[in-house]
Amino acid sequence: MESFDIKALNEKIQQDSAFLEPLHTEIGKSIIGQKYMLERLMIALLSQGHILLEGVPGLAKTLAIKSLSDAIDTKFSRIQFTPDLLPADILGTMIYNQAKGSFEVKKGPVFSNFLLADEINRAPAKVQSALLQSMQERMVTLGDTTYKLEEPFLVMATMNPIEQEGTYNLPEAQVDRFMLKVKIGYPEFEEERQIMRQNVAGSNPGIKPIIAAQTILQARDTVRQVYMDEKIEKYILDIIFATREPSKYKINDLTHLISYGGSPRASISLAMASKAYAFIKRRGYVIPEDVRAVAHDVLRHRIGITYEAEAENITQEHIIDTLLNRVEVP
Amino acid sequence: MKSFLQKIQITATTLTSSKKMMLLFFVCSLSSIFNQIIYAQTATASVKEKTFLIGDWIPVDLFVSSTANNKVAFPSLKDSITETIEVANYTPIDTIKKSGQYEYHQLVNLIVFDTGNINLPQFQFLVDNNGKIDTILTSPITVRVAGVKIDTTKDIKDIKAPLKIPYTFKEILPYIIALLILLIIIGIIVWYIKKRKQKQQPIDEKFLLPPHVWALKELEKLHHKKLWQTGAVKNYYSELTDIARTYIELRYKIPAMEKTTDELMDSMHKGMMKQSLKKELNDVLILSDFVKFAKAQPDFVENENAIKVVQDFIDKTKQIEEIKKGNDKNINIINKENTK
Repeated sequence: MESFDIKALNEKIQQDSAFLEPLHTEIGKSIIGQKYMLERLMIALLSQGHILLEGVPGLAKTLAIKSLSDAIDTKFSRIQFTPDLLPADILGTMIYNQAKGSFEVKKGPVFSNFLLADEINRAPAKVQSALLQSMQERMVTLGDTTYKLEEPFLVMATMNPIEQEGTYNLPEAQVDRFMLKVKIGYPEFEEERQIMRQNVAGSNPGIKPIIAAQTILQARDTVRQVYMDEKIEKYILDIIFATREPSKYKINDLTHLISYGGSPRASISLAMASKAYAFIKRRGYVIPEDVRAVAHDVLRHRIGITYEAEAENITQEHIIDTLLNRVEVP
Repeated sequence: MKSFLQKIQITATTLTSSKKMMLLFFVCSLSSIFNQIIYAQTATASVKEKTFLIGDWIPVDLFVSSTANNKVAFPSLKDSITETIEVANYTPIDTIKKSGQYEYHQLVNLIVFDTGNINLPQFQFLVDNNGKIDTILTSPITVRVAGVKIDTTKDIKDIKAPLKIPYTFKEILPYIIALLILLIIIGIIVWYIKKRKQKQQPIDEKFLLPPHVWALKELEKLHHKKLWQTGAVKNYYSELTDIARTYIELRYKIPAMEKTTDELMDSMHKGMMKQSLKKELNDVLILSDFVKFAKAQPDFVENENAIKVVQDFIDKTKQIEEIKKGNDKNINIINKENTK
């Protein structure tokens, strides 16, 4: 058996993904468990996406992205979203310098590589919109000048699923800009024992920068080269189209449960995330397993459920499971 | 009898005036008695009791006695006699012949919706006395109708709902027949639509044949297509895996077409087949995935071996239906393959 293109690509991937092992080891010094969240962070980082995390407080969300930023030798910023936050608090503003007699640019926290937008749903829509626009366009305009944001640029936003009072839910159009929405849960028993011991002992192993930002940018290029066969493309499109018109795929029982399906951005995100997942698994090609592995995180915030579904306690997870079990695998 | 009376009247003309008067009285009385004997028609209406509760039936016995020659017409009874007296029912007229006389009986049940002393009306009978119509009236009857005693210490209760009379089978029968006819019509329509659809969409052969027969037939067709020999390696492996997956779906009822290779292998748990068979099939499916998704180009030995592995898998896991000779109903399904 021989396949020259894939073989060369596989070798390239082996080289370019070599940083993953030491990176995990380094982050693992401060983060115990949460492998799923760290893997999803890497997928978003490698496929130029952003990630929305949903989980109760105290699950090391901030520590995870801070550790990732420290290990990659990049700049990290954190914004705590509050109801009185203004767009300028994120993007920056023009400040008048009295000595020079002119306006000077004061850049906001968005000018960093890793940005943690903590409890993004606590700020009003205009602030959310300012951040989401910069996430999409990867540039910010202050006064007359447009500034390009430094790459890699990853936004990790968090949402608390419990408290809903005094929050501004992200509109569907805004939430669609996040490549992945990841739900994180509590650590395992043994993991929590280690977390407890580490914190009680007061040992805080510092994270050292072991990877240059350039390595990530190079890995991103390689991820784009991961081979995706047209059969896999069709499979991805079948899944997305099944979210829009389930009856065409003979999944009639979902028709009345879905109010709207995935956008074209969902197809792009599913394809990119599948490639990044294949890269993390050190493969130069995408297989159906890769698509299925990331499908939940790509689709859960992109499928709208009807009142009937809510009344029947049917969630997006159930709908995605049904779709994956009913759409034919190539 | 008439000539006897005439003789008495002639004799009376010879007597004194006072005696004449006495004789006249005697003759008239005698004449009246004989008249009654000759034309004896009596009618009575009687009740056995005199006290009733409001709404009770009051049985009134109508009795008429007449000679055999006379025809008697009973009063024609309607639903009600007065505003407060109604006729509940009445019996047919009973006729008894007694020594040249006819006795007629009829029992009429009346209901009175009033209280106090109630005068029941007189009943009128018509008698055809040789062409002469006589009218006979019964004597009036007075009965006492009492109201229901009301216990004022107890609560007032609602009026009871009308009693429900259970339906008889005769009443339900037309509905049953109509329902049966409707069901038969619906059945015929459904059967017709199904038959029409069946004609329009021919059933896939894979559902008609046993899974292994269909799969081996498809593999034979694939072999004759010579796909990998003509460079269509990807198509060859796609068709090969489709046949293998469809066979597994039909044979083991696992939704194999909707599962990835790993998921499919996980679904085929121990006991279903020999583990060596499963491993060989897994190797072919993984190789197929390489070809389909990673542009892999297996050599001709691998290509030839792949179809043989699938053939072998089907042959060793096929389900055979054995029909015992002489008893078509006993079908034994046996697994040819030893799962141990």
